[in-house]
Amino acid sequence: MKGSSLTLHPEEEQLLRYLDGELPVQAAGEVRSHLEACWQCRAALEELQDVVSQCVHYRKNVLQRHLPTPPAPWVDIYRHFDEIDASLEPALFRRITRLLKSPFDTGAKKWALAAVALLVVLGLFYRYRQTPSVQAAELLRQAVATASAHPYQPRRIQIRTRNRRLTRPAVATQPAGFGTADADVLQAMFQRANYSWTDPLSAQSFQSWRNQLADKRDQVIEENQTYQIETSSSTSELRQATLKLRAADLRPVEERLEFSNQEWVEITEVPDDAVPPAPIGAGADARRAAGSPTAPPSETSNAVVTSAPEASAADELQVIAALHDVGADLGDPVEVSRSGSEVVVSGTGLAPARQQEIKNALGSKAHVVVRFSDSPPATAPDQPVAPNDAPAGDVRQLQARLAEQLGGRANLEQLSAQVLDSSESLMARAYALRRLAEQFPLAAEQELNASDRQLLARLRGEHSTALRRQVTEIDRELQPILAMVPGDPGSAPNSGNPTEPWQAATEDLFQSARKLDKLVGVMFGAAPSETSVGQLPVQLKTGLAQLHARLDIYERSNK
Amino acid sequence: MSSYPLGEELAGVVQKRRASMTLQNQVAQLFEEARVDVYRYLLSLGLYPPQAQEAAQEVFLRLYTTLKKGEDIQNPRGWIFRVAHNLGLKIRARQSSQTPYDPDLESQLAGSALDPEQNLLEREQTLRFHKAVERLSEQQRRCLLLRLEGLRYPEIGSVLGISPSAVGEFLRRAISRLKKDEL
Repeated sequence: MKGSSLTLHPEEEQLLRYLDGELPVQAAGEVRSHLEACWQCRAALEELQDVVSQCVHYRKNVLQRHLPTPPAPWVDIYRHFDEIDASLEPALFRRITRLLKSPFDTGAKKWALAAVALLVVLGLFYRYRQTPSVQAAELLRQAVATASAHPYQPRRIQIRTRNRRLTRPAVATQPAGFGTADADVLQAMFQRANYSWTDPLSAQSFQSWRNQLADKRDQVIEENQTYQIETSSSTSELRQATLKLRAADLRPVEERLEFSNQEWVEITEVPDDAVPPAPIGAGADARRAAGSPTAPPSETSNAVVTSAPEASAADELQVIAALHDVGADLGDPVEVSRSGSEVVVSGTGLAPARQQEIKNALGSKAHVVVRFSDSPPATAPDQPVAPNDAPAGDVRQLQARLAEQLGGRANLEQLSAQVLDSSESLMARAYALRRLAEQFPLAAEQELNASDRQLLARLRGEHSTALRRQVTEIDRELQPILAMVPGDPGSAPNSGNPTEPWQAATEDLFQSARKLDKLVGVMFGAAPSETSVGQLPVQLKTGLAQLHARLDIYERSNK
Repeated sequence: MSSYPLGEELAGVVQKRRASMTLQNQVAQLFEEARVDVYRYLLSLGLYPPQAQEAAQEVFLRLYTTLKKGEDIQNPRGWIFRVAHNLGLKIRARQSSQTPYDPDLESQLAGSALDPEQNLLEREQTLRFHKAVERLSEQQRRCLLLRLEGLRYPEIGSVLGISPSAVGEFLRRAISRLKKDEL
């Protein structure tokens, strides 16, 4: 026991968890006894504690001292509490509680009267509670509260009318509409009805509209694990609105609005997996996931109306090539889509300097619209992370073994940082290649003239060469670990179909790269493990061999 | 006979009223203690000071409303930061045409008159540390800031919508990078 606790040094994360009191009792006990025995780890712990102290110092001397103080005096919060109390109690009930405010100096008669009144009110209240309008108000209130208690996740919605269809972010980042006449008409209709165009598919917007109606009738229907709230009014520009909430979490998933001018609008959530995994080429991804491969490319761009004429694939290619020249096709949150006669380049959360750089790169291109917004990519983690707590014990053991093999924890950490970095660069290339395949399917490629086709081939060639460089780099970095691991030649892919177009070879290449990235992530603790950790080194070696082979196939198809 | 249940009913109302007063006092106390922390966290999300202050107030009122409705909140501090985070991001998303607020601490630190208690070396150290914090990834920095506010891993995870183990990993990376940058 003692021997093992002496030789297996806890990793840095475990030490930090230990310091933070986040280790389970038994594990904390093991770390504690290890620390008693091991000077090296005690020194590592002190180093960690030292950084923690500097952080505390930083909070006190930089953040607290130099961030601006609140600009106004703080509100009298008790007054607001009273307002909340008042809004939560029905009016009659409120009158009675006011009567009872000082109950001990009132007579018995007053008590009895109040008690009777109270019972009447309670009776009325419970009967009233059952009516659809109370149900609707209560459901909306809960849905709003639920939405505000959950992390904000960006999502996309599809807006459909009698003859138009567009897809856009659920919360519009372009306050002035989307720059097309048709979208402006829609926006104006929403404005006249006092309905939020910025965030139309939300309980909050529905509630705000409903609350300001002078007359309204509600209906609540519960079916197929959804609640459907239907509110109609004769005085509003919006005659009837129906909001569908998912029963499990009260998330608004669908909405239908019927306007007094006989127009209707249906809004649905675009499924999560249609949101692109990486920036450029979101349009193509969303299109595929939405199951409408024949839809025109303009459909899923930021605000695009199907009836508009299209910019050509060649225009889009020129824009992508310009972005490529400044490396903006490698992980920057930039989207390229075609909208009418224009190619729209949109980006979110880019630093001003980077925005300028991209604008400069696109400067001379005609028909290019650049839209940058600053909303951050919300809760997207910067590394692959476990959606749930994964049992990491096996991985820890493996890492401890690796550390031993590499001559210490510091060496393992250094290697892990290098490999994770290489893998990140590799994935940036893999995504870039996949986006090219999605944005230029065979049909679109055939529309291009010879020099554009050559340009496209050059882009692909540059990405695949860089990708190969990264695979070779990872290969080299992992050599000390994988040298002794037996390979698995049986699972190498076949040589591929020589007539297969590069578009088809891309997906295999991408999947192979993603598999490797995932394995690297698990091996170095940046991602949860889904399978047995024991096989990890072998899988990694096989994954590398497969990726090399996929690259060979890809490059052949690229010729 | 019949007045007995009525009396109980009324006692219930009085009790409720008292409970409400206690609840008000509790939330008000938390408001006093934590409002500036929440305000600063909202600044870090890119909200401008007036918006951040208003949002911070709103968060405590939401806390009161939620508790008042009888919901059980195990850890109000964690809850407050979670709601502040969501509210902050929503406000930012709605006002995305505006550039996010940047307090530009770096030039403040570099340009501020030398504090008599602080020597030049210390100031350089502070500046270096600040730059290192700025270089952290967004998620690493958020985990670090929330940890500095006293939140535990599961609470941070629930604020950011990630697992506690991911929080541990982000924190480790953050600390490890700060350590490296300090050397």
